[in-house]
Amino acid sequence: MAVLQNVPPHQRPPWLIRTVLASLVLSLFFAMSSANGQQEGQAFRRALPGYVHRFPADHAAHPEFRTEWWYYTGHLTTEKGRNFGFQLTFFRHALRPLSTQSPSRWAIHTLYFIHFAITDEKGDTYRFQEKVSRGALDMAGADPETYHVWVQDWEVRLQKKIHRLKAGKEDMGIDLTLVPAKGAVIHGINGVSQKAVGKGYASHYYSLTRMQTTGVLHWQGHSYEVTGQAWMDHEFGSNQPRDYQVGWDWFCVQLDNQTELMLYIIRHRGGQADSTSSGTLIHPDGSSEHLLLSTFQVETLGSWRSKKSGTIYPSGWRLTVPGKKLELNLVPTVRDQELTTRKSTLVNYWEGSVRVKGSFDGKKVQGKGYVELTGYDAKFRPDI
Amino acid sequence: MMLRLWRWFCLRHLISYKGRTLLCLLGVALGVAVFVGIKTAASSALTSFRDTVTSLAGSAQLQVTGQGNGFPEDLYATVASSDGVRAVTPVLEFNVIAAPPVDEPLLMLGIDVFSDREFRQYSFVESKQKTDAILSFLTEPGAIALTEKFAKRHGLKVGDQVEILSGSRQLTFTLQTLLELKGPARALEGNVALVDIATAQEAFDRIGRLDRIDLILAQGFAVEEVREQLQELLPADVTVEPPQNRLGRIKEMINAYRLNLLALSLIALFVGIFLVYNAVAFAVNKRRYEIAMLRVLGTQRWQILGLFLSEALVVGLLGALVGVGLGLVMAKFALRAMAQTISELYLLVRVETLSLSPLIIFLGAGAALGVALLGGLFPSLEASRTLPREALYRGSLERRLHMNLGRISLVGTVVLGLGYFCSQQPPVDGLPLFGFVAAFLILAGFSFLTPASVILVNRALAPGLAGLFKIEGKMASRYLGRSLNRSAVAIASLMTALAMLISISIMILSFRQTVVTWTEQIIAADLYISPAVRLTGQRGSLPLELVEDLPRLPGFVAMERLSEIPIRIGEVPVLLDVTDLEVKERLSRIMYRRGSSKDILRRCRQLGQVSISEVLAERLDLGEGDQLELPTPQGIQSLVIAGVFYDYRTEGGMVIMDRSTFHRYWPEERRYTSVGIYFEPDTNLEQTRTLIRNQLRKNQGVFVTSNRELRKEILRIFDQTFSITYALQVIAIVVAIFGIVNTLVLLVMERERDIGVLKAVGATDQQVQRMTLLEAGLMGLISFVLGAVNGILLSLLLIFVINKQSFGWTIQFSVPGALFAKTLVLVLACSLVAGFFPARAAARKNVSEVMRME
Repeated sequence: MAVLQNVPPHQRPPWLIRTVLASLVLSLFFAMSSANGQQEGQAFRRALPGYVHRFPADHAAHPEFRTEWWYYTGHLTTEKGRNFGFQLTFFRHALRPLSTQSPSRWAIHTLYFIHFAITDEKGDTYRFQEKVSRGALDMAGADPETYHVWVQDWEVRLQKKIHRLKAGKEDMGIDLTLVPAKGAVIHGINGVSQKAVGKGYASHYYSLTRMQTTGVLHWQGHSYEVTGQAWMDHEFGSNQPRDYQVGWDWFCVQLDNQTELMLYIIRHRGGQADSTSSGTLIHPDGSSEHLLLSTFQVETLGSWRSKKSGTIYPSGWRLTVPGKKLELNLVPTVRDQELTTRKSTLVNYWEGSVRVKGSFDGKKVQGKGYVELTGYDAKFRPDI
Repeated sequence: MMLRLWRWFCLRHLISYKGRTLLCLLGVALGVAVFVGIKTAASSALTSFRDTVTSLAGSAQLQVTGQGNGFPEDLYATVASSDGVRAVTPVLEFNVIAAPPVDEPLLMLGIDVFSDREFRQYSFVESKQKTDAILSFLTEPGAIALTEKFAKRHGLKVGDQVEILSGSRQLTFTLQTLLELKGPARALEGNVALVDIATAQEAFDRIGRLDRIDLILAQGFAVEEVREQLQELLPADVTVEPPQNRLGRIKEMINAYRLNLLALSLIALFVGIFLVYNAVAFAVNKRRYEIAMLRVLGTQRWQILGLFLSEALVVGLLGALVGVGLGLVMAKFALRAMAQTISELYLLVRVETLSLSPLIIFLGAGAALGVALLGGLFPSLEASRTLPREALYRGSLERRLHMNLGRISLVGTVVLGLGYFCSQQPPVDGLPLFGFVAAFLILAGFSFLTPASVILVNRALAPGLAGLFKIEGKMASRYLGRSLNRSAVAIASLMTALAMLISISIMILSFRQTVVTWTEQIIAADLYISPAVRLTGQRGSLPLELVEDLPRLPGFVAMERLSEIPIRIGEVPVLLDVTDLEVKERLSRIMYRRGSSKDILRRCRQLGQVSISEVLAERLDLGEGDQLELPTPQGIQSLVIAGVFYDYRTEGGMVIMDRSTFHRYWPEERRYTSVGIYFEPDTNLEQTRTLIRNQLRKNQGVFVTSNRELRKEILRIFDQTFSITYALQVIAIVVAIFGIVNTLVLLVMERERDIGVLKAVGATDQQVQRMTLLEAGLMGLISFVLGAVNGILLSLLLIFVINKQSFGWTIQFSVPGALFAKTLVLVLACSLVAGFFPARAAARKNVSEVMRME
C-alpha cells in the first residue's frame, strides 16, 4: 500500500526541498483533478479491469504507469532467538512521461525513494533510514525488463525465483535472500484493486504472502545470521486517491497455520470507511478469497501518541471475519514504529511489526504481521 | 584646577588657531584613514569571502573540483561509491550577468535538490502560487529560482522571464520560485540563482560535465585519508580538497594587496609625526611668555609638559575620530577593488557591507595617539624646560637650540646602511617584509640626514642666492641655516611626502611604460573577437560556427584561436593559454625574457614544449629548460619550458601551449575564448566588423575590438587599478605643503625681534617680505632635491624588491624627466604661496611693538 500522503496547498513547509516534495506528493494525489495533471495523466496508463498478471515479468517495473512500489516487510530471528522486524520499500514515481527528451542525463523523469526500517523487539527500539534519487547516471532506477530496483547500493533484485534485498550499512543494514513459499496472490477483482469509486481509481496489486527469508542483519555494530518470513507487496497505477480520502489502515497477517490475511480500510475525511475497502484471505494451498468491506470488521483497541510528530495513532486492533470464524488480536511489538520521513516523501506514517493471537475456525492460532497507518498526521490533513 | 588651566591655556589656543589645528588633525587623520580603510576593506573582503565559501560549501567536508570546463559527470558515480563517502551532490557553477535593465552579476548554481539537501538548506519563500510551479522548477526547462531580495530589488515576480548573459549567449529563464536569504542564498548578498542541474547542463551547453562534487564522509573516516584515496582514484586535473582551502588562497592574495597599501598608510603616519611636531612647536613658541608666567606662578615642569602633550593628544584623538570615519569611507572603495580582484581570480564575490572590526579601529586610533605623542613629545619637553625668568626677558626667547649635527648625521648614515641591508633580503612567506622595512629605513635615514643636507645645499646655493638676490638672498640663506631645528623638520616632512610621490610615480610610470611596450609587442592581430560577457571561472566561449566562418571574411590572412583555461598548479591559480602558435610565430611575437620569440615558439609547436610567464616561473621557482608538472585529464605531464615570457595580465601566472599539444592531453576541449584575426593591409576593418556582427544569431553577443582599442582598454584598466594610489599621494602632498606654511609662520614668529632690528636699521617692508619668501622657496627647493634623491632610491626598491617579491613582475625602470620638472614647479609654487602669508605678516611687524620688550 502507498504511504504517499495528502498535502494541502496552503500548508507549505518552509524548505524548498520539502516544498518540492510536498508538491510532488500533492501531485501524486491530485494528478487527475488539475488540468495539468489530466494532460499528464493521459500520458500514463490507468489501472483498469481485465489486467492479466504474468510472472516473473510483472515483478519488474511498469514505467507506463505513473506510480509503483515494492513493499517488503518481515520478521527475522537470530540464532539466539532475538526477534527483529524489517521494512524495506522501493517507490518509483514518474514526474513526466519517459518520452520527454533531454540531452542531459540529469533530466528528471522519475523519482526513486527507499524507506528502510528495523524494529528491535528486545531492545524496544526502532530506526529508519531513507534514500531519494532522480536516477541520473543510473545511480537509481527500476528495470522494466528484469526485476531490479535500486538507489545507489540499496537494491532488490530477482535471481531466478529468489528475491535479494540489500540496504543500509554496518550500523543498520540487511542483506537478505527471500524465497516465495506460495505463488503470487492478486488482490481485488478482475486484476484491479479498487481504491475509490470511479473508473481508474485503482491499482494493480499483488502479494507474495509468505517468503522464507535468510541472510544477515547488521544492527548497532553487530552482524547476525537471521532467518524468518517476509511479505512482499507490489502495486502500480496512475491514479491517486480522491480528495475526500485521508488515509488508510492496512494489515497483513501470517498465521502459523499457513494462512495469511490482508485487509485495508481507506478512511474518508469524516472517519467512515470507503466502500471499496477490502481484503484477501489466503489459504495454505495458495488459493485466495476476496473479502468485501461488509465481511470484516476492524476494531481499534488503544492509541499511541508520537513524541516526534505529535500524531496520535491507533495502537492494537481486533480483526474479525465472522463468515470465516476468524478473530485476531494484533499488538505492536514496539509502540514507536513511526517513520517521519524528512528526505523523501515528507510524510509521517506508522508502519510496524505486530504480534498476532486469536482463533480461526474454532482453533487457537498465532502469528506475526505488519500494520501500516497513514493519514493520521494532523499537519497533513486538510482542515476543510 | 588642571582642567580649568587646560581650558584656558590649551583649548583657547586650539580654537583660536582653528585652521592650523584642523590641518594637523587632518595630517594625523590621513594616516589613520588609510590604515583603517585598508584593514577594514581587507577584513570585510575576507569575511564576505569566508561567508560565501562556507555558505556555499554547506556541510561539505571535501570538494572535488575540475579545471576550466569541469570534469566528466561519470566521475560522480566513482566518487559516490568510494569508501568513506556518505553523501555526494553534484554542482554546476556559473558566473553570469542578469541582462539589463537588471544588469547585475549572479552566481548561478545548477543543483540536484535531492542530494543537495544533505549539504545545504535552501529556504523557499512561502508563495501563494500553485504548487505546480515548484514541481515545474524541476521539470520545466528554463526554470530558475532567485532570492527574494534580488527579485524584489528588480521588481521580478514569479512567472517573469529572466534574461541571463553568459559568454556570447543570452539565455531566457522563467522565475519559478523565490528563495529566502538564508544558507547558501546569502552568498553574494543574495545574488544567487538556482536552476536544476539538468537545466544548467542544457542551457550552458555543459551536457555530461560537472564543476564540482561536494561530499560528506561516513562516520569514522578521516578527511585526509578519504581525500588522498579519492585523489588517487581521480584524474590528475581534478582536485580533491576541503572547502576551507579556497579560503587560504584568498587570504594570501589579500595579504599581498593589503601590505602594499598599509605601507602607504605608514608613510602617511610618518608625515603625521612631523606635522604634529610642527604644530606643537608652534604652540610652544607662540606661548613662551605665557609658559614662563605659569612657571612664575608655580606651575610645575611636568604640568607644563602635560599641558602640551595633552594638546597633542587632543589633536591625535580628533585625528583618530576623523581618520576612522574617513577610513571607513575609503574602505568602501578599496573593498570594491578587492572584491573585483578576488572575483577575477577566484570566485565571484559581491560585497556590500563593511564588517567593522573594533580591533582595527582601536589600532587605528592607537596609531593616531602614538603619532600625536611622538610628534608632540620633543616640543613639549622643550616647553617644560622654560625657565620662569624667561617671562621677564623676552630676549632669551630665541634660544638657539643646539643640535648635534654630527651625531644625527651618523645615525642617519647607519639607518640608511641598514636600509640597504634590508633591501637585499629575500621575501618572508612570499611577502616583501624586508622591502617595506627598507623603505622606512630609507625614509628615516634621509630625515636624519636632512639637517646636514640643508647646511650643505644651503652652503652650495648661498653664493648664487647672494648674487641673484643681493642682501635678501644672503639673509634668507643665513636664517635658514640658523633655524635648522625648525626648518629641518619642515623640510624633512615635505621631503618624505615628495619622496613618496616621486617614488610611487616612478614606479607606476615605469610600470605603465612597460605595459605599453608589452601591449604593442603582443597585440598584433587586427581584430579581436571575444564573448560579450567575461566573468570569473567560466570565461565564456565564442559560437563555434562563427569561428569556423571567419576565414571567409574578405582580406583574411590568418587567425589565432585562443582558449583560456583556468587551472591550478599546486596552489597557484594559472591561466592556460592555448593558441595557434604557428600564426603567432609568423605574424606576432611574445616578449620573452631570454631567447628569440620565433625560436621558442617553434620549439613549443614542434616539440610540444610550453612557455610560462615570469610570475609563474618566480612562484614555482622554474626557469628555461626546466620541467613543468602540468595536471591534465591524462595525468600529470612533465613538459619542457621553452621560454619564460613577460606578462602583466594576472597575478597568478600563465602557461602558453600550442593547440596541437593541448589536444593531446585535453582531447574533449573545443571551445574558444577569443580569436585574433589578421587581415591584408588594405582591408576595411570597419566593414569587416559589421560583417562579423551580421553573422551572429539572435541571443549571441560578441565584442569585436581593434588592436588599438584593446591596448587602450588594457591601459584603462591599468590606470583604474592605480587610481587609489594617486588619490593618496595628492592628499599627502597637500598636507605636507601645509606643513611648510606652519613652519614659516613659526619661523617668522621666532624671528620677530630680528625682523624688528632689521627694520629698525632700515630694512624696507618689501625686503623683509622678499627675504621670507626666498627662505620659503629655498626650503621647497631643498625638500625637492632631497625628496627626488630619496624618491629615486625608493622607486628602485619598489620596482626591484617590493613589486618583484610580491607579484614577480619585471618592470623596466625609467626615470620620467617630466615628472621631476612638474614636481619642482609644484613644490616651488606651493612653497612660495605658503610663504606669502607669513612673509606679509613679517613685513607688517611694527618695529616699536617687537622692540618694546628690550
